Amino acid sequence: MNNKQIKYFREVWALPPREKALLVIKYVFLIGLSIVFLIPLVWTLSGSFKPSGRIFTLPIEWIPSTFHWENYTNLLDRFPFIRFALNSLILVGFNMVFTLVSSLLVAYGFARFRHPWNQKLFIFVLATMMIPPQVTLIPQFLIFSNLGWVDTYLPLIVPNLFGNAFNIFLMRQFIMGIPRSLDESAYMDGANSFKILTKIIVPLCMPVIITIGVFTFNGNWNDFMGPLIYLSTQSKYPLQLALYTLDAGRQGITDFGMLFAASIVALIPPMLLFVFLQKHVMAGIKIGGSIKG
Amino acid sequence: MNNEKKKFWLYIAPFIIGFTLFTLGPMLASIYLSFTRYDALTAAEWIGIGNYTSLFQNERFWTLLGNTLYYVFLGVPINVVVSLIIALVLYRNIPAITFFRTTFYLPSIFGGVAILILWNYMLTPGFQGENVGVINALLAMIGIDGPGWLSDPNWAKPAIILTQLWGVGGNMLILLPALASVPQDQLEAADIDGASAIRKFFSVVIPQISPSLFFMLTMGMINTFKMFNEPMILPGADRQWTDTLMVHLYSNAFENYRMGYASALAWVMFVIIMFFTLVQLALGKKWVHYE
Repeated sequence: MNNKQIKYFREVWALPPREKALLVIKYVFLIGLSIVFLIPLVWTLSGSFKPSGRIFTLPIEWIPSTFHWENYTNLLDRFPFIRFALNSLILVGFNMVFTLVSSLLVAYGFARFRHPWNQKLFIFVLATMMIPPQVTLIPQFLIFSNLGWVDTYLPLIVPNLFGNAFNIFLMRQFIMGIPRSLDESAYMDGANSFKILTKIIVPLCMPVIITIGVFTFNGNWNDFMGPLIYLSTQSKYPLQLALYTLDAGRQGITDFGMLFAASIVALIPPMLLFVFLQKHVMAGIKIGGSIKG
Repeated sequence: MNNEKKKFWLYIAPFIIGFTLFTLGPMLASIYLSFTRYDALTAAEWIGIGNYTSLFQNERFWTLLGNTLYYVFLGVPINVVVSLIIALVLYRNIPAITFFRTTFYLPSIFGGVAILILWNYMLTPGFQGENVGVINALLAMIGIDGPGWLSDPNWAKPAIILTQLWGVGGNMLILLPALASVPQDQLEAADIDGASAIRKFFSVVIPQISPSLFFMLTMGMINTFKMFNEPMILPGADRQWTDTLMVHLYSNAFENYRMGYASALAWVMFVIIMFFTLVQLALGKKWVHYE
């Protein structure tokens, strides 16, 4: 036990009984709830190592008596599983870069350049978040299909080149918090606005870039409707769409163990990203305050 | 035009171009389409308000509207309340806080098909001790005879709300910094006035975090109106129990190629969403406090 913990325990010891009881209740609640939150993961993980017939039997066998790695190896033998995962990564990679760069440019414009319309246009950007994507879905499909882009990745990637309202909002708020004096002294040294963006603003924006990067990764990794609408060739499917078509009841695959294994694999990339960038993600996002910043 | 104004336009150009190409243009096209019969192969045929009348006469539309409103007005508030309860316990630094925060946040990053497929199996109701999903198995352990979930018309929609509750960590993450920034001196002032804990919560904490609550309720509502994955991957035994308007739109536009009808549906959804958003904004003026 380190000093901080010892200090904490002394403090707790000194609390009046009523507050001590409250603390106990708090921990019972937290531990109980943690178990509830973890059960789905534990059950799935253990199911992915069981033969199909043993997953749904009672009592639940939390730790499989023998580990059936076949679920995982079958996955690779019977399906182009690595291909699906690579497809997902290609989509995620392009979209992360494109949305970060385009949103940053727009946010920089709003945060740093005076224009009589700046304020009004920014509120307009925020208002576009309320436009439900339903009303643009069908014409967008018709545009892309006229361009001959259906069954390619272009409809899933190209729209990300134009910034995303929520990302623009978060980045603008962040850039407004960076002192203008830094920009001004660089202007004095002869730097242009683009150089200031890349040399001063971007390095200081890293926390918000990482947060948005993680959200973008997860959003694209988990995207289902886009690929469902635009892709028809199975070898182009990203992982989530491939899983959907593998799911029992749709294509008649009843190998639950394998399906569990596939799902576990699909959860690994977001999980890894979270583990490495936990500190940044858990810092959270602050909503509120005035949009004038 | 001076240099600064030029640069302003230059930097925000991507948004302006993208908005025109992928939002404004399509929106106008979609209004036109909604008055036509169009299958994407033959030319669009003008039929006036035909799509709208057949939409309002379609019983399925009303059922799915009901389902969608159920998720919006029951699911979203439940999600916000649960996230608030968790955040209230976790916003102060206590031992093992990282473990708890991580545990509650983690499921919310699993948003795709994979996790919904797994929920489908977790919710398997079981029959005479066979084929029992983990949820009913656990309920049985504490002596509760679990419901049929997706195979029961009364439990299908609650089952979907339950799966969404597992992702409550996203909202928790917004609330933690909001709660941490509630000014301590206001709480102490309330203490001196002899305010009870409940009183403090409703007159100090809630107003202070109201911008976050408002954001979560509004975005939750907008996102739930386009709910698609859950009813596609966790359909009720009868799809009418769980399907949303978004599924109706998808199947009409992309499975049956009734693009005109689906566009009319999109605009009806737009009007419904705008109506509730404006109501929420108006109500928000009454209870949301910005500094």
